[in-house]
Amino acid sequence: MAQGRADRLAQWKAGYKMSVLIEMKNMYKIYEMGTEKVHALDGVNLKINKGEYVAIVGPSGSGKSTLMNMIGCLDVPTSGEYLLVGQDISKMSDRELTMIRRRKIGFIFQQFNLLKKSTALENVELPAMYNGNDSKERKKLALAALEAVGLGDRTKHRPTELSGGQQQRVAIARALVNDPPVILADEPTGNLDSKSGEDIMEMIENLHGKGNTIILITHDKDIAEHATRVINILDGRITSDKYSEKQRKGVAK
Amino acid sequence: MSLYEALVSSLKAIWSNKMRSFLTMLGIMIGIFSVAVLISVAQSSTSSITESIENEGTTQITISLRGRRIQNTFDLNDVEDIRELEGVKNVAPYTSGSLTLKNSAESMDVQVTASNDEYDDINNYNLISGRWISKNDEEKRLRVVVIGIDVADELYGTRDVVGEKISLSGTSFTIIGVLEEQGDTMMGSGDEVAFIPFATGQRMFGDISISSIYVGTEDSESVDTAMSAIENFMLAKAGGDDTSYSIFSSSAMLEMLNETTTTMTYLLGAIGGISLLVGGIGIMNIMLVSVSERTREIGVRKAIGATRANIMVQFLIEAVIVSGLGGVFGIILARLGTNLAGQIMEMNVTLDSVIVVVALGFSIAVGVIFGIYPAAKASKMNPIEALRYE
Repeated sequence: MAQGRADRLAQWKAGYKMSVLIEMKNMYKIYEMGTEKVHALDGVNLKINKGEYVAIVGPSGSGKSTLMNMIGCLDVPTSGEYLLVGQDISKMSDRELTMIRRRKIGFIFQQFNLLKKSTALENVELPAMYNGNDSKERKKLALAALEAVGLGDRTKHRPTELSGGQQQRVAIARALVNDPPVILADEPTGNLDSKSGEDIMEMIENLHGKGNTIILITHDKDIAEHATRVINILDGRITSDKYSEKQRKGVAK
Repeated sequence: MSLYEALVSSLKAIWSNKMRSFLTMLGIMIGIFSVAVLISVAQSSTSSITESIENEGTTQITISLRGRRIQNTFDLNDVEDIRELEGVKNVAPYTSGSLTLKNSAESMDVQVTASNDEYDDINNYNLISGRWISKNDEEKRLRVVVIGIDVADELYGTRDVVGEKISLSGTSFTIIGVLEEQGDTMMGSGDEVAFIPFATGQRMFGDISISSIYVGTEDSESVDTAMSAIENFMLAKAGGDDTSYSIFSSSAMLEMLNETTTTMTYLLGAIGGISLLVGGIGIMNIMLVSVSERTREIGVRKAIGATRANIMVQFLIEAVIVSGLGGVFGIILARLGTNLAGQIMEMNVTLDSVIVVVALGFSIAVGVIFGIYPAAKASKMNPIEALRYE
């Protein structure tokens, strides 16, 4: 894992030409509510490159959650195409989607969603377990991931014994453990006080700095400012797609 | 995810709801326990009865005469006629009465049987000392008696009593033999007994009628032939009134007993089936509660890469562990229960290994059958909705 990340970091630093990670072509998601048809996604076209830090911003009901579910391979579009690392997700079966989630997506949730009865280590091991790593291997991976989020000394703690910020860091470690190409964070600071929220955002920025591709879903424009690219969504359509000040500054350097 | 990992995670879930899991287990436990004990007791008691019948011999046929009318018309000539019937080897007339047996010091009331020199053959009797009643005793109506070991023990305190005098309700008899230990039979103690020649008995009891005739056949194959010959003879003798006598053979009785045991086992099995059904519904109920409580957990697991099969296996194993453990504890309790029942009933009650295997198999099957629906429900959850569940 560490080796792969270091390689990627090296490539990125060397000005490696960014390759397309996510590509959505004319994607629709239509829910039928009785006789009415609701267009949760109304023709979305989107490309996200490897190594980008993208914030998807919109108020509730804008379709950002639907878009997140699509990106996270939790759902498939009604029509259109979704290519993730070159694979077409839109026609995949439930089982195939699960396999993609296992290997390609790291989820960070607003509610942390850790298993309450399990220790931090066990929580972090879970994706590795489903991925088929044996117990020794996944323990090593999980310890490394917890180490990376600064919780190497909290491995035996259960979620109830950890602060909100610590719980979210465990969740981040869990998202990282299978070293997925996409990290998908859904309002990661929504349940945290501002100090812990800042810590988490800093940690996510660090992950980006190490070459991870981050997609951040939020309704909060300030939080979105942390990203290098901000996509606004409203009524299922992308209304704007801009590189942020920071990115421009970064490019200017 | 390997089976072992699913097992560990299921055990954790069961352990975190100890009380609930235990109560659910209890349903299966009680079911398995009661069926295992009841079937064991039923099987053990029939096998002990079977054993005692087999000891008495399966070549035996008993004719009982009911009512004075036939008893008064039935005499020793008829007994001799029966001897001539096909398949018949030995015939012994039988009558009995309660007499007080007394030596110089002690006395006891004993059911005294009066029969002939063939009665011991028919009943497979062996003597520990002395001899059985002879033809000579019979013809001369001698006052001789064969006693059971309990009589010897109680009245003399020794079994070496051949030649001793004994008083039967005031008449002096000579002991000619002691019967070996019979143990308890269906008719009561087989050792608190005494036997005297038939003719002597008629005089002692003041009654010349015959109450039963014991018939011994050549071998167990000729029982059926002899039965039907005796049937015809008796029907003619009773003038068509087949209610005035009854004939039964020990082999027919064994057959009947086996049928009863089989019916009983099925019946108890059915009761067990019902209790397992109830236990199974309990498991299903608690699994459904567990699935709905853990909706969010299921959502998380699915989001981070658990397949339907992973979720299914996890919950199914949980159900199987609960019911399987219920089965194991039920069997352990049944083991103790059969020991206790054996002590109380003063017989050897064993928990058959077949019962153990079948009971464990059933308890696991119950877990699978009643766990499938909740597990399938969990596995089919939509991760998006499950993650949104409060």
